[in-house]
Amino acid sequence: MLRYTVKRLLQLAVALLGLSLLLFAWFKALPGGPENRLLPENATDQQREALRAALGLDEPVWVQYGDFLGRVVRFDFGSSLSSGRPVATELADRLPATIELSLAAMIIAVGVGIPLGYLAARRRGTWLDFTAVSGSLLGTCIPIFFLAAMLKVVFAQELGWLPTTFRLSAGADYTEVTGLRVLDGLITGEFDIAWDAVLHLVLPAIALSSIPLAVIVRITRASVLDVVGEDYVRTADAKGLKPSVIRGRHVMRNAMLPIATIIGLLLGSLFAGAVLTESVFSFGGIGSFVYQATTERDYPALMGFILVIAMFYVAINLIVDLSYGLLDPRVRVRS
Amino acid sequence: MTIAKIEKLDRLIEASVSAREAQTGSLLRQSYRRLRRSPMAVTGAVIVGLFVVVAILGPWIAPYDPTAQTWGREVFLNRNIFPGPRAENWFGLDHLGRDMFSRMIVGARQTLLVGVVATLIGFVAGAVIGGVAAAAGTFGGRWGERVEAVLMRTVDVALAIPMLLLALSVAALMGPSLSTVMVAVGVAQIPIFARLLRGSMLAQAHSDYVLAAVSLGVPKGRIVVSHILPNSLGPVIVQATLVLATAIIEAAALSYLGLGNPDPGSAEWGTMLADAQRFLSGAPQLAIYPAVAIIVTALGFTLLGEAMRESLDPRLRSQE
Amino acid sequence: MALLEVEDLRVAFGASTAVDGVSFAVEQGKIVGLVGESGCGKSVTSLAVMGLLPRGRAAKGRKGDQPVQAAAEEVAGGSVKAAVAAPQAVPAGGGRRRGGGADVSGRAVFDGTDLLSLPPAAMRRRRGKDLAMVFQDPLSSLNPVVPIGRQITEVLERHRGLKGDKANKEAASLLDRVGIPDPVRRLKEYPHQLSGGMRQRVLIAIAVACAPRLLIADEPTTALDVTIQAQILELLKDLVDHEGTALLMITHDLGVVAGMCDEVNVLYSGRVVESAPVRELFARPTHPYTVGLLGSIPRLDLPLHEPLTPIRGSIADVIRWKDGCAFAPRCDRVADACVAGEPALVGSAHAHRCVMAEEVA
Repeated sequence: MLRYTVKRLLQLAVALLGLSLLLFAWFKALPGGPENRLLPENATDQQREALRAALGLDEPVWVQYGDFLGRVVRFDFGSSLSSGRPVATELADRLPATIELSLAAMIIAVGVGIPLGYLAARRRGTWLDFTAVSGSLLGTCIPIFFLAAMLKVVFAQELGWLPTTFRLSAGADYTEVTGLRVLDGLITGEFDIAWDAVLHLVLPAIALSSIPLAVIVRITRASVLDVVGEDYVRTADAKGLKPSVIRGRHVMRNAMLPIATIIGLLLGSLFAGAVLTESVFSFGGIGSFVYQATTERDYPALMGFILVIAMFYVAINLIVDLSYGLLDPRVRVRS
Repeated sequence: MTIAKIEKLDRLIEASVSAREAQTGSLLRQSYRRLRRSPMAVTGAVIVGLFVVVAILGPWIAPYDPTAQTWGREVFLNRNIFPGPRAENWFGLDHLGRDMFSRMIVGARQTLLVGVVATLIGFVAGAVIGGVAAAAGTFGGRWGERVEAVLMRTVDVALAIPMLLLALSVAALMGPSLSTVMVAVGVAQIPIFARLLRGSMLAQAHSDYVLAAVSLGVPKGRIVVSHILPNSLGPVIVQATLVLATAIIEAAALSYLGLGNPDPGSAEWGTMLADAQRFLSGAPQLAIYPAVAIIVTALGFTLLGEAMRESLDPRLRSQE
Repeated sequence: MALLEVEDLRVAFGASTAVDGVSFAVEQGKIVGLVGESGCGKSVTSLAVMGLLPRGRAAKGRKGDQPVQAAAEEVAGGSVKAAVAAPQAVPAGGGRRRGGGADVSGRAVFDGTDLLSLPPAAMRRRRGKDLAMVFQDPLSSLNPVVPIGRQITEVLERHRGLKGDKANKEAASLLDRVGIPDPVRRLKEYPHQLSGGMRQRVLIAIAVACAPRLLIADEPTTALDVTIQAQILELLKDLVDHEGTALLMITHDLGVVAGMCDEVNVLYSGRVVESAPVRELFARPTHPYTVGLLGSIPRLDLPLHEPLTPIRGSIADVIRWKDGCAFAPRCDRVADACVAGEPALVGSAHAHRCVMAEEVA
């Protein structure tokens, strides 16, 4: 297990290094270079040169890359062109909202998707199976921002059941601990805050969960169908074990292997989907920030965002890989 | 080795290769027959067929010019209350007083174009990377293996970037336009195609008939081009069908983020859907028409792709 | 009275009949062989007795008997619950329904109780305890993500109420008994860490964990190397001799039959065509099919260049038993009498189902 972990960590480092190279190349390739964004249109050549020197752009490329890498390692992504504040601070302020939203969406997707996929497999060929499969096919085909907007119009604006925007009601007295507001409310004992935060989470989380939910239903169904036909399930049956034991220890424990992989892959795409969902609900996470950065072509902000998300994504994949090792002894122990 | 021995081997390999080809031939036929019986495939094919016909014939079917603000005055006077379906405008009018029905029909072409071009970019670039990596790794010796390692590690890194972000970065480089959307969505698909073709080719490269051809001394280039590659394309083509669906949806998302066609006159479903967000509570129909069109079209490609995948997968097949 | 008496067992998957009226008996402490080629219904018979039909098995088309495969493809959707359910829980005609199972009729009387009419829960309490089974492919028959120790203790827990240390100790001693060295360490290992022969020993340990009175072994050595085959057979024979367990040996290998069995039942197309003590069968095969089987194995006592005599045709060429002898299309001695109606099983100690038997003898 240790060797496996070390190997994965090394691969992770290589991947991040490669990513930084790609990003650096991207940064260099931006139209006109970054100085054009920072200078007024009528800047003189001297001004241009001075800025290039100040930014280190007159150094050889590998020195620039070294600088870039050095700054990135210290989470120094420069300042946002639109707000002027350091990108790292902007991101740090908004990250908890996105994490909370993504976690909520994943909880919905896993909590509904795995049981539904399991039932669809067990009732194969019934209306339930048909509904689950066609629903999940449909789920991947709905543009997420449209779904989010429709949910908002119907359940928040027309029916008024749930709040339309933001993470808490106006004037809510909130004490920040972790930045995850539901959790904070529970920690500080302000249960009304926690409940308020949950209400604000429902619609965006449902919208964001649509694609992962669809994927998890299908992969669970396929995986369970695969495993149920395995010889070892028949062996378990021949042992006279209770159905609950067969289901848990023999069917689901094996069926979880592909599901775990998919969940890891989905978490990454979840962050991307958050960009679209948050902007619909003015959720105030990095999603809204990036929406703004994209429309205003705020390159330092975009770069910081991509790096942070990529780090998250890679870290999540590492966790999934490691948990895969825990789930599957064939990966963990070599014979 | 004696001549006779070589000739004998030759015949054996020929037999094994042609047996394999005969087998794959019948496999393809079998798959096709299963496809025609699958309601999923038929539904998907009908949707896709209809979409393609509308996309091609669009400008001739549309009753009005999709860009003409014929009823602009009427809409302006009504102050953002847009007429719904009526005899002369089947789908009503949009916020600039244009005929929605015509815009929907003409929009199919642009939407298809975005999907197909984006998918082609991903397919071609991904296939080249994956194909070169697999060929180099299998037959290129030690250097080939290094080439493969470098290519595939790069692909892995690119895979670590969520698709929409990759698209965002490309869009940031190129500025907002429809071609930005196509390139951005296409580039984001490259890693998937590369991985898929490489995996598929490696599986073929380790099969007995390739081993036979190698041991016979058939030129390696010819083995790759005339045996491995054609036999590996199945899953990649299936993936392309599925990616078409994704591309259409992602393109809509990029339009929503303001990276799509800045020209408000053009008719494209993704742009229309993004534009309509502003009027969602007052005139949801403006969003619903393009949204339903996008969903149904994406569903059509998805159904077709999934049905193809199932019919090609012998493991899934036996469960039917 | 015999420990297990199977009477007129019939299993159909929808329109196709896998077992067509099989009857045989297994005496306490005896080894009884069930022999035939792939597709004759021997595996389905054993699964029916165990109450493991219907289920979504063999969907991947492994070495299972042909009709099972075809049928399993139809029932691939069969769920664990359906599989656990005793066959009669499936409504009549259920085989035709998609995801339905097997129609089973007849009796399998085990120690005075008809297993086929037991409710699912009662059958579950007996499976693994009173009667147990060893399967063909030891790798795929063990759960890859559960340590083998747990796979043994879960039976002990279920049927003998052993838990924790007690269960582990018992599991170790079981492994020791089936000839696995260093059993305490092995308990923590996973199936992929063991060799094929070891895995089959683990499966046997699981099967004998609760000292069953009847052990069913379905081609237990087919997936193993020849040298390991002999060891596993030796082990099975040993266990039977010491515990007084009865063993129902399902095999296509006449060599295994000759070395192991006391009694032999030869199956053809879902029915017993000949049944005799093992020496008697090899000395005086009566049914032409048995004769054919014996003729198609190489023998050391014959001249080197004597050709083998294969049975012509394939098991797919059949007549329905009620119209005549199912083997008739492949039989050298076929006569009009063979297709003049259902042939009866004649004789008691050495029974056969051939109207031309006198001619063969």
